[in-house]
Amino acid sequence: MRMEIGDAMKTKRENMRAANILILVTFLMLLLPISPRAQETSVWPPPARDMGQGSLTDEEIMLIDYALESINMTWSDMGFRKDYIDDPFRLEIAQRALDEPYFLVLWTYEWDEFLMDPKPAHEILMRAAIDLDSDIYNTVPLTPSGAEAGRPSEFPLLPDAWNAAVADLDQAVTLAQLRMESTVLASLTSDDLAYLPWYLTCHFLDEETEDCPDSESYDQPDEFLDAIGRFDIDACVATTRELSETVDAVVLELMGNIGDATFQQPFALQGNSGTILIGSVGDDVWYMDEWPVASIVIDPGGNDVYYGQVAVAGNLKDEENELVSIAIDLGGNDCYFSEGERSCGSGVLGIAGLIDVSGDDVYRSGPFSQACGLFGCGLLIDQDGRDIYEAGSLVQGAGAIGVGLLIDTSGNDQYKAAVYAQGMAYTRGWGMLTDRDGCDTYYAGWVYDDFPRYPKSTVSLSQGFSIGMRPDASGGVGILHDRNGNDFYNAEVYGQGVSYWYSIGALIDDQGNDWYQCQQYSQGSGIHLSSGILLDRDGYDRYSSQACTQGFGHDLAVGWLIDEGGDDYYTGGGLAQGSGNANGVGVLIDRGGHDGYFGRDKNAVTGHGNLARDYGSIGVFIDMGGPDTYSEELCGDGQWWSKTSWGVGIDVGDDWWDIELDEEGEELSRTLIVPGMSSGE
Amino acid sequence: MKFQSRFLFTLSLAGLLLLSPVITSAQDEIIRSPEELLGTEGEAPTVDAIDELFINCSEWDEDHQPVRDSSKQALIDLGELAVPTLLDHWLSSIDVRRRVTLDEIIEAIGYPSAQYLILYMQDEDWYTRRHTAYLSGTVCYAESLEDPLAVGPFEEDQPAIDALSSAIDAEQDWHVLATQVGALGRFRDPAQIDKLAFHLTHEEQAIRLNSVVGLGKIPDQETVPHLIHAFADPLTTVRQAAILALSTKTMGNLSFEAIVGTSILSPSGETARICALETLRRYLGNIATEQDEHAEAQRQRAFDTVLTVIHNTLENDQWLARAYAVEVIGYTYDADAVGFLENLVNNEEHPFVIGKINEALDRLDEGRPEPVED
Repeated sequence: MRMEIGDAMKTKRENMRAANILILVTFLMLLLPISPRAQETSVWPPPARDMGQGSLTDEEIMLIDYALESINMTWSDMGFRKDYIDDPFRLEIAQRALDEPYFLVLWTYEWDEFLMDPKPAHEILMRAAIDLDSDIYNTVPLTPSGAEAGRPSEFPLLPDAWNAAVADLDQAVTLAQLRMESTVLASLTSDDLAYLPWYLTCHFLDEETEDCPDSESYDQPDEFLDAIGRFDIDACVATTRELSETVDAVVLELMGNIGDATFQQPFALQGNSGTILIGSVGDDVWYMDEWPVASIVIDPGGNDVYYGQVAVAGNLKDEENELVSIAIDLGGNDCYFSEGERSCGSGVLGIAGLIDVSGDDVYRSGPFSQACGLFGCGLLIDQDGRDIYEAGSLVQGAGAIGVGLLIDTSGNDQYKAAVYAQGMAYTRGWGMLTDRDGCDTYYAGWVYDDFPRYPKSTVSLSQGFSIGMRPDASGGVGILHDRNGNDFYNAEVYGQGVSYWYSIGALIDDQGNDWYQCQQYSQGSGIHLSSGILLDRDGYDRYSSQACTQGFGHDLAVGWLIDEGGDDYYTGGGLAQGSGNANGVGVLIDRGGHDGYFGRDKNAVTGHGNLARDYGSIGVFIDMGGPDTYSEELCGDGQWWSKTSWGVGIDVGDDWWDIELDEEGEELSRTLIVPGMSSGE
Repeated sequence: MKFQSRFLFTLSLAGLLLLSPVITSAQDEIIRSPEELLGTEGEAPTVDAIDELFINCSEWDEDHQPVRDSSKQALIDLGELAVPTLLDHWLSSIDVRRRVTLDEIIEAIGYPSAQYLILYMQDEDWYTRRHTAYLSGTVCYAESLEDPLAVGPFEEDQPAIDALSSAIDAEQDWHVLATQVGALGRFRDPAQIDKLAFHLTHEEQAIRLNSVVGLGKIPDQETVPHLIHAFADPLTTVRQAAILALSTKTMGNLSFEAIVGTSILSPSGETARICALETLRRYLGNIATEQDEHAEAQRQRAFDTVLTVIHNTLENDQWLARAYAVEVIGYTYDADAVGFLENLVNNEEHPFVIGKINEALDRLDEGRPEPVED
């Protein structure tokens, strides 16, 4: 029996490996146009991409080409040097987005294309690994192997199908725990493991705890930087990906045999991985601190309330959790309450995942929660229902020296967080919040005061945001992706497709009439040697922000805002709507519609660049047509202007389109012909 | 140096951890005002007092806010007395708050700091060398002169020039070299033109960029051909730096004829010609308030030049040169300009050129700015 299982697992592993290699090859082929090799041979402007896959159109690329030409530049000029300092944590894509700003656009469209259909977590993680320069197939001989994880547990109390599924999960969690201990955390010393739980709390929670330094220096402690360098993120992501695939299979198996579950009371089992808690089919109230610390929690249904920590792995100060922890709730409207504590997929020096299969759920927890990976990985997957998420700092798809992934499949959801949230990343981190459906609201901020920029303003550092530790360490990749619905995004300072210090921040919204509200450093902006993008692919949208926003690059940085359609309104104080400041590059492209552009500082919007360090910045503004309204007289329909150093704007006139109609007056095709430009130019 | 500061920081962290309750409760008492730190007037400040004053003004939190400005001013008032300690302890810091604050203080103290900076010109740490080069350029004697036409080398600057020039010869790191060549130009020494021009062909764009910036600071005719050569650089930032350098009142005047010539015909190609036209436009903008004969003659010459450019580009696809030439007309304030542009706009199709014509007409309609008393 033992051999059979071992052989079966071996065969399964080999099949999985073959499948993984096949998927990897497919990915590499997909990435071919943006692979590093392409850099050596690429010419500018880049080729237009198939619209079926999503990209800028031929005409948009041509107009950027023209716009740059009119300020005596070419595409390659946007790639002027922006890396004046180096560090060992720089991601290749973060560097490349600065060197070749259009790369960021291609990369964003690639992600959007990838997420067009629902993807399981393990597939998303595989792609995240590519962003993290993590070769999870070739560099990670994960040890121990499955056969070394010991004999699978038997759970006679459970029905047969459940017994097998829970045993599989127990085996997978055990294996992941062993790998965490022997590989992922092996390079961290006992000093690290004593220091990090204290320092991480101080570092990310600022003044919330009393024993932390009152104000931290920009100069990060060597212990912290060294530990970041030694942490084996490759193995962590690979382990999480593999575990996630097993969890998905187990959830399917359990759901397929949900009728077998007739448990009337919650009870505990002992597995190889630790304590396994099984809930009843009724409405359970879980007081988690009254139960042993669990490696696995499975609740088959009912409207449950969880008080305390669920799906929490690894340890901060004074904690005693398993290194890997998985919780699965298979149905009902559930509440997860852990005020002030971490919960719901919190992997800090560990791996944690929470899967809630259905129901309208409420998640309310403290910091490091709701898909937080900090020196670890954290997953939260909600497959159905109208949900409410509330949490503190480093939450809701946040990865810092690790990966955080929050997937919400459907329903009108509400997300609220203090800071570092909603698709956020830190050094060696990758964070994503992807919401597939529903009219959602995203709030981030109102807890931590900002450097006094505006009265009572706070920092958000959220919603497709990434940040590095200036000047010691580059940042990671933060993505907020919303597939459907009319959404409301509300943040304060730093938010909505923004990054700071050699990072990438992206907000991608596919459909719906959306409202983006922010204070500053927002809506497709790169701040201080960094890159940010906001891609909105459809709908009648409203963008509002005080300043430094809407396709804005500040201080050797790159920002893009691309809106593919609808009647949109843009309001900004200044340094907005395709603006470059202090040698930054900012681009705004609006594909059409009846748009309005308002800027309080008229000269510093709609294609603006200014001078710094004895040279200029680049601002490009393109509106592809439609009757538009501007607050500045210089701009208008069918106008082409350059007003500052070096900013340029083009609003395509309706008469610039040569439209071919069929006999019934339906449009067959349209060709853009700019007056005064010879054909073929 | 860096290790030293990190070691100190680590020590302070450990101390904070152990003594946190005491320190937290006593924190307000630790922050001392300049009066408390400096004691009796005329007494030499201690190293610790200088450091504490620096911490006061380089911590940007609320606790230090009440003493921030006064501490900074106290250090500036100490002048040379504070410089050795500040440089020794903080020049190598990569903390943004420390760096920015140190720059503000050293720049305010100015030239007296220069002699101490020389000591760090060839420091082992690349960041220190770069920071030193930057500050050397900003505090040199030449930078303190009001006359933009004053040409160096000035006796006061010679030791720093020699040290910086030697450092450039020895430098291998492009980050540092870029800053050094930019700083060297600030001494306004024509003897350094060849050294700076040599770096205009460097493969590293940051070095080319800073060579242009450096050359642009030397008010000497010899720099002009080198800067015009930079109009043909493959990278926009280098070209932009050359445009800005040559369009100042001083350099624009020195290079006027060369710019005019390049506007009509550039041996380096169309990109360089557009740069020349932009330089001409910016220079005319910078002298717009001047109404002496020389300025009037230059405006007239510019008008004639761009008429030639427009005439040569009417029959072909050179819309860009046409647009840039039209833009220049707006700054010539020539009596015939409005009539010419109104006639031109009727025959123009290109939206960018039309936009520039309308901008120029608006500018001419507003009239030349009133002369400003020097």
